[in-house]
Amino acid sequence: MNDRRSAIVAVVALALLVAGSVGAGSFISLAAPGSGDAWTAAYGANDGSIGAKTDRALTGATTVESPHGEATVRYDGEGVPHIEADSEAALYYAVGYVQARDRLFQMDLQRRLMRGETAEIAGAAAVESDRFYRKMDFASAAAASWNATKDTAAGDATRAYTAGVNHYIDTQPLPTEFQANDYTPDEWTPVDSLLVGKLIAWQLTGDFRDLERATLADAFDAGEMSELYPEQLAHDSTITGRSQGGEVTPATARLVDESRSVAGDFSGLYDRYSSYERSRGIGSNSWLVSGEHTDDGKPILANDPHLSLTVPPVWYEMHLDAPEMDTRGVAFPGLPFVVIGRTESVSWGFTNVGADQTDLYTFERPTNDTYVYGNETREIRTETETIEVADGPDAEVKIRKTVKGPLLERDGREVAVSWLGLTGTREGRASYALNHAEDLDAVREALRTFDTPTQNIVAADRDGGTLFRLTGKYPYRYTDGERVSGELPFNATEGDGEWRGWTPYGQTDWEAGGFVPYEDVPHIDNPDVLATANQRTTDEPGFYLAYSGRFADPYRGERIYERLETRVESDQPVTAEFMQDLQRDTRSLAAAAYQQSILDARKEMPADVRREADRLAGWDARLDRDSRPALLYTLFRDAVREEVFGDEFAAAGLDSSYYPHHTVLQNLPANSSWFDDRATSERETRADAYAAAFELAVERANTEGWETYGDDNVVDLEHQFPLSFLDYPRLTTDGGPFTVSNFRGSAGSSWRMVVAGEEAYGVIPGGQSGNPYSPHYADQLDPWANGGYHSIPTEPGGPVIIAFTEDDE
Amino acid sequence: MSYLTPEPLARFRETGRTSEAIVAGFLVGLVATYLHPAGLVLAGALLGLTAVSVREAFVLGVEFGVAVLVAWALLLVWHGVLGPVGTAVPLIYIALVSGVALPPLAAVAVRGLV
Repeated sequence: MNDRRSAIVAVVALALLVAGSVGAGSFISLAAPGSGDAWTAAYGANDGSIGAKTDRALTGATTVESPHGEATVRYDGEGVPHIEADSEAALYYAVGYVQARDRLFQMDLQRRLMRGETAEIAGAAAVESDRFYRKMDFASAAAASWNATKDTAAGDATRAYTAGVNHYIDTQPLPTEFQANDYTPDEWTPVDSLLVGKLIAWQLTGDFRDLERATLADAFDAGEMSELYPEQLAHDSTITGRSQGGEVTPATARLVDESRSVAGDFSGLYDRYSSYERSRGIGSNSWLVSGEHTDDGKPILANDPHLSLTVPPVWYEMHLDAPEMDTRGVAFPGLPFVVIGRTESVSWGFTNVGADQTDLYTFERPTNDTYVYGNETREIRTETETIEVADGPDAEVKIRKTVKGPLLERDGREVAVSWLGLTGTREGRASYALNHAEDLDAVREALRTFDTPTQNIVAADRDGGTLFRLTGKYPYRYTDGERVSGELPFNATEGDGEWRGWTPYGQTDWEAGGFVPYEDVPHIDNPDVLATANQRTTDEPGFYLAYSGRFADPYRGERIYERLETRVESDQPVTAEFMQDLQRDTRSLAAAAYQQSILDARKEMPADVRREADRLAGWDARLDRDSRPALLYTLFRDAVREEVFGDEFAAAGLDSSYYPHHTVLQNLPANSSWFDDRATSERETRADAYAAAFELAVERANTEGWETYGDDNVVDLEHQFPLSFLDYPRLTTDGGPFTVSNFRGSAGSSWRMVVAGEEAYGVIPGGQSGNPYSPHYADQLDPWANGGYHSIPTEPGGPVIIAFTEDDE
Repeated sequence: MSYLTPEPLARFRETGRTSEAIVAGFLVGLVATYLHPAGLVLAGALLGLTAVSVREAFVLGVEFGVAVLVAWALLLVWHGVLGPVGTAVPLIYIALVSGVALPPLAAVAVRGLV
């Protein structure tokens, strides 16, 4: 090559280098082999690697200085940390460090969501979400909860935890997501931990259903309302009603007076904010059987909360061992305490009650800045905040608060939101106490400060005791001195629907008579058989708990009770294996209830559709992945409410989100006018509507090319950060939204646990580690999708990976 | 020879002792690449200085890029993360392309100019 050609080649190469460094320099810096920022998290991700084992053999465990003293962290075969310490401060410092090591990005994302700071990293698409969370000002509510917690042992634990998180942030490489998005997290604070608690509580109890019901009441007459949205769904499988044994409270109940509330078309407001409310897919199962029915005389408890299925999972499993506690179970990353799990003496689990903890209020508004409350005109407290937006101009949000809470508005309609969690709640103290419980009396005592969320707790102790009760605070609504229900918005100017003593963003006097006394909240001491699946708690709670819209269809509860009753009436003892099998149960009583009606409708179907419907004859109603009938039924179920209610609801300007429960549809008489299609001159019946829905199901299966249920029922979970390698692998699974084995696409069994004395099992849908290079990133996903478990003993397992040593400074 | 080539460098290239320099360039480059992505360019530049021709510079650059990837793969095996890193799409594509492209570009640029 002559000099001239060499020079030309060199200049071209140089130009390519310069262009590459300008155009792709950040990508190269991120992903260059060896030293790219994206790989820094990889080098310590596998504690079982040759390198890590050699390193430990030569120099011992990784040492980390702690101002609180010594602690050790072992990781077992599932990546679960076993943390041991001689003091609780040292223990919780290690918990903070370890959670940050495994889940820091998730923790940061949660607090960003609740603080309304997501647009700062995600851009303009997140601005509307940020506006909502800032308007609600959850951050101030978390600060109020911190004020109610900070001077207690739970406060000390939270402070130590916070210091541990920050030590990790300050000293260790940041997780891949931070590197890829080129930002660093702020310091963690105790309020951030309380904010994670608010997030969970809001997702379980926060809703705007009062707007939905007011809109429906405006669209339909009273008869139609009671037919489609009854106070109670027609079934007899309430939690307490079908339980066996124990002492039930309340034995009798006082009726609640009718509400005097506000109806009207709130659809615009509801459409705007309904995406932020409690998802209708969120539910859970739990049940317990006393020692009366087990081999060893010890109770057995099972729990699988159905929450969002996320990458990484919403739960983080951990085992905490200190002189006054030995606790294992799952926590929400960002919280120092085990939420569901077991101590050496007690096990417990939660499901959502569905109670109404949110009331909405309208005000007379003399001016833009004032509202009338009773006889008094008050100023709206207003603040304007700036939302930082990545790669775009900043946005502003106006936060306006009243005595009833923050104002939300759209198109000239507005309501103030009284969500119970906006005050200084104390569930952190309750969780701390639960983690130390040695018997059921300690559990009962702990639950006195479990102000929110409202949960069905089932618990058992090693002495054979069992317990069911509702957690949370239940406000009495007062209108003109009478207690009323709260299913519709109230007129606050008239003083309707008062919660006495409740103070948003401040401290509430819980004992001032504004809330149902702890002793009167439904509970059962020592039940023998009891199952909760978000169905109606009891027919007569003694106060307004909620109407049918907030409770689940009864199918899961009925199925669990059906199997438990069959088992305890048989000669076979209830075992942990049986409980696992029940958690894997795929028989859908919703499907069973539709099955005969579909078969009866075959005469209205074309021949090819009828042949497909014939497959449902003799079907066991199990939603198994290899089942063709399960696929056809599921597609029918997705279509049938549109077929029945679509015309009437569309005429009222309401979309499918307003449709009533499947139970309501199944209980309509065959000649109900709801089955009539307004578009035709004939009078259609149930058979016509079901035939049409089933035809749509067959068409969809053919269009999509689906042969069996597993073609549609796919676990396909994506990480919130858009890098494909962070997503979980796709898997097929069994079960559906109304089966005990629960899966509905983006939600499902988020933690399956069975505790039978010393024998205990659990599994999460994914993996313990949020580090994509860790062998524990998704190692439990396959077992979870296929009904597997790992044991969850309270003995430590695995090598010591991290040793915290006394900080001499 | 380019008019930008220093006389001592030109003489060195003719001594036949460049193989030792190439080995040194590989070692320095590997360490530098482990520490910072710019090590890929630095290594290419060093190899370009010692190469007797533009063609050899290109070959040395490619060889260095392959060596980096092999060394990195061994490091990942040591840390037990070869599988997850190797499937970290699309980042792994950037790693592979930058690993084999940057050193030869730097080597050719340097050798062609000096």
